[in-house]
Amino acid sequence: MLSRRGMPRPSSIFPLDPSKSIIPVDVLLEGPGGRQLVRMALDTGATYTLAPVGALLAIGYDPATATDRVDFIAAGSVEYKPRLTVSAAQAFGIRVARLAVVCHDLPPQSPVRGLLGLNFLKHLSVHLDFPQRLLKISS
Amino acid sequence: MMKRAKSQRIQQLRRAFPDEWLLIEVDRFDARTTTPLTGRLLEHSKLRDPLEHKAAKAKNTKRLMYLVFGSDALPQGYAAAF
Repeated sequence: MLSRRGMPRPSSIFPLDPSKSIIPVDVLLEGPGGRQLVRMALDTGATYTLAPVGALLAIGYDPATATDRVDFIAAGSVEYKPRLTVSAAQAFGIRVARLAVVCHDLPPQSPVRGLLGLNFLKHLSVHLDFPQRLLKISS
Repeated sequence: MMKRAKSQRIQQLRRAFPDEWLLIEVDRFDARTTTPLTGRLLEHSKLRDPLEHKAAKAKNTKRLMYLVFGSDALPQGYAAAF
């Protein structure tokens, strides 16, 4: 992807540990009531970003009153969950305004509280370089 | 009055409690990489739910809360299919 001046945009490079069973990423969620950091798993198999109910309440949203709901196909079940739009989400230093998130708590056995899905990742160039143990991101 | 916890590196806090949830008030944050750097440990617990409620109390304040598990590893014997 090229910048407005026709130059390649600089990449940010993050460590990537192939021995881990997930790719963890810190995500800053913003809303009318504040901001909260949520550790998520990078998930190219998730259509939407999944955010925990507690974090959404903390930044000023009430998933219980959301009028928009979505059926999403999870491993082994179909879940019907609220979907709302947060003011912004930021990961890898890249901020995406007005991001739709599905409100869902992952089971407590999960070490992460959410999933960073395709509706965020499609704004980026993502290169998972496992042999070099690097995750390269540019916008 | 409760003594305020000292600011520590987030990695250091997580390493100290690898199998617990930690509620941290972040005081240094790298916006270029969206990485919390240092913070004050407010509470830690084996259970996530009680800390979720406490994190929600920061609503409408400037405080940046981070509720995170001490390790990124799945529990022994588990695999993920998100």
